[in-house]
Amino acid sequence: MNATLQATLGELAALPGVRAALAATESDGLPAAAVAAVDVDADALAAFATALFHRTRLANAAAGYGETRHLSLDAEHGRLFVVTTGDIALVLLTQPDASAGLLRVALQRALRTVA
Amino acid sequence: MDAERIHDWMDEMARDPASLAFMPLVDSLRRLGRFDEARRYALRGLERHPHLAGAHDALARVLTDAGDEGQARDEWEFALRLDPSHQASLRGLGFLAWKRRDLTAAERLLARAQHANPADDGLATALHRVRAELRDSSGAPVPDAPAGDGVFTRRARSTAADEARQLFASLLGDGDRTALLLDRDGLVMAGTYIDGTGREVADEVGAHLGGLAEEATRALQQLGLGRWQSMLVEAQHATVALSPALDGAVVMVAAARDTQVGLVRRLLTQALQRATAWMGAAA
Repeated sequence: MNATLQATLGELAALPGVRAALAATESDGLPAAAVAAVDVDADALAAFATALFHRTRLANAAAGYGETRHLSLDAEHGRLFVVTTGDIALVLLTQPDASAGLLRVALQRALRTVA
Repeated sequence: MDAERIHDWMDEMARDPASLAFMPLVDSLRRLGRFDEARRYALRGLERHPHLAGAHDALARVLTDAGDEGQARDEWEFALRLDPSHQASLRGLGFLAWKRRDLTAAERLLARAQHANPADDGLATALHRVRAELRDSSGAPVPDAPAGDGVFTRRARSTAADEARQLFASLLGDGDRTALLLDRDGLVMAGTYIDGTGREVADEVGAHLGGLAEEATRALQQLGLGRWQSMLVEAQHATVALSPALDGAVVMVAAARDTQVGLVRRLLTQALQRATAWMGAAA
């Protein structure tokens, strides 16, 4: 499992514009594995990305939208993508101009691999 | 009050030249007759947002008030190439057509504008007047509204609250889509949300989703990623997109899960433009 996860993260991290790819437990926000640029704080990324996803999941459930599957957040200096399967969250941090379509598909494929 | 807001918007533009605050700023300066400044900010906004219909509209209004109607017409026509249902541009071109006494063109443009925003009282009055003039000039009957359409009477009675509720209606089409403008506390400012059972649930949905903006801001601050620009969430039954608007407000678009994600993003951009213009006009 660890080898598969690490290989999957390595493939995600190799995509254009990706600065970090990590897996974290959604319930406590701790990183399980990460491939990240040296200037990226993987612990902080895991914590805040999963917290945001958790909050979004609660809001979506309360609003009647059902289970949350994919979150992407565009900011001035980067893009954040989060998907989950069970308690595992896959998180990508990218450059602002990274291709959202390509990364969305890659994340869905990665999710199937690690599920 | 105006001066304070103008100052705030100028500050925002100085901090962030890509901010959409130039739209209400230009409109306020124009209303105060400060045309040179208004034109300068409008051009600066257009440099950053050349594909934003509202930006061309902002400049066109300044040009009209400053007496340059030819240039204004060019700007509004360009805006309509970007967004054929852009209501303010249709109205502006309709006004210019009426001024040059091309009543047929004026009627056609204003009718399209009214279709884009049925709750606009002022537009209904203007269209009524143009149709009356057209009737007088040609002797032929020109209907106030399409046959069998009783909506016109209701339009005339519509209130500002109706206008707010209908703010996004013309963008959303007939699909299972909705849009809301929420203030910084998650309270609904504009838009409406009717669920599958016919119940109005805008307040509930707004309350649940409004807090996400704060969470996103906090996360991005901690990660050093700057201000958030948009958020897209795919859930089991819906795709939801959010974007920050003026004064801490948030625009939300929700669409059925089978709606293309790219279309939801596009709707969000259009809803944000409309909300920004509406907030500027309401200020």
